[in-house]
Amino acid sequence: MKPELNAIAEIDRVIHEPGRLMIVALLFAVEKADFVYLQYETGLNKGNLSSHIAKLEAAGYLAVEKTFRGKVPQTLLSLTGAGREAFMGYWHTLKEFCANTASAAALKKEVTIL
Amino acid sequence: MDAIRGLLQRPIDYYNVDGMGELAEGLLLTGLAAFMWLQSFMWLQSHVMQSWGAFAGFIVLACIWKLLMRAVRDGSKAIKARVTYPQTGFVQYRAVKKSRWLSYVLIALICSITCFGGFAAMGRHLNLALLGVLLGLALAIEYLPKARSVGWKWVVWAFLVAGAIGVGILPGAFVDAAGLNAGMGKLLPARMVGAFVLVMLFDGVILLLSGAITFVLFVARTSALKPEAQ
Repeated sequence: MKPELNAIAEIDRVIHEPGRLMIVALLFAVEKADFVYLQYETGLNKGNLSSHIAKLEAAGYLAVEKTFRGKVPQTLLSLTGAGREAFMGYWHTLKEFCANTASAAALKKEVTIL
Repeated sequence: MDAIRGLLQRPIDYYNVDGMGELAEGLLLTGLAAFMWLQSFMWLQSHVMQSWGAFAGFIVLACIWKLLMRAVRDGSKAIKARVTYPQTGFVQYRAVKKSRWLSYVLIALICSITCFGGFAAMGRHLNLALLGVLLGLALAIEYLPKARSVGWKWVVWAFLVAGAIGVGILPGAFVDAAGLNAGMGKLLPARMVGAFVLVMLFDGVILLLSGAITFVLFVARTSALKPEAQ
């Protein structure tokens, strides 16, 4: 594999899926949020959202807390320490990959011109 | 990459999804402007300044201030709990780090020292209404993230900028009169106080209007999500 593509091979596949990426990115900016908020922001249906949450919870990235708001049940979700680290890692990998591909493309362009 | 950055910004924008951020800010600014006028009636303009009446007036002002703060804090909390969270979900924000608060205080200190330094250096030659213009522009800059989140709020931002510039080109006598009517105008230069009061009043009213429109649109556009979604 070309060295500039090595970074992308190391990407975290749990986070990389678009639905889960949306959930993790939204939760990264806050302390915690409830299920309704994630549904509102992501536009995912209940089933899909529950399935993604279960996968993130199984990976140890998400903490799920069941409480009540008055008499209404409320599911609060927050990123765990591992989840925050995983997202930061994902972000750095993606940035590194973009930077490498951009410099490789620039090099190729220069060679073509020469 | 930009899409992820956008997602990271969304929870921050969500604070004002119902217009509560603007309503709170607007109430605070109009309250501050009204508070400065109240002083002229209750404290400095009265002849009881050197008696117990001044102390009582001070207590009344402190109570009004406390009430205003409670209305801003508890009012927005109550509306969020009863209207926003049941419809579009609850968000608990991360606590601001102490180091960030310290940097805010440092920036405020540097700005104040620069302003007073400029005032001391230029003395009478400095048009003190410019300080009001600076305050108005600072408020407009602070509003930029809200304007970016919703298209029509650029109009509100344009109003804030126009208001700040407008105070700078208003006739000096008018600004002076506004400053002299405010209690602080007896202690500080009337033009500076007048410019501050006018900017705060104008921006406060604009933000209240914008917040009210946002709130009405929010209630009209969002349908309550059923609790079984949990």
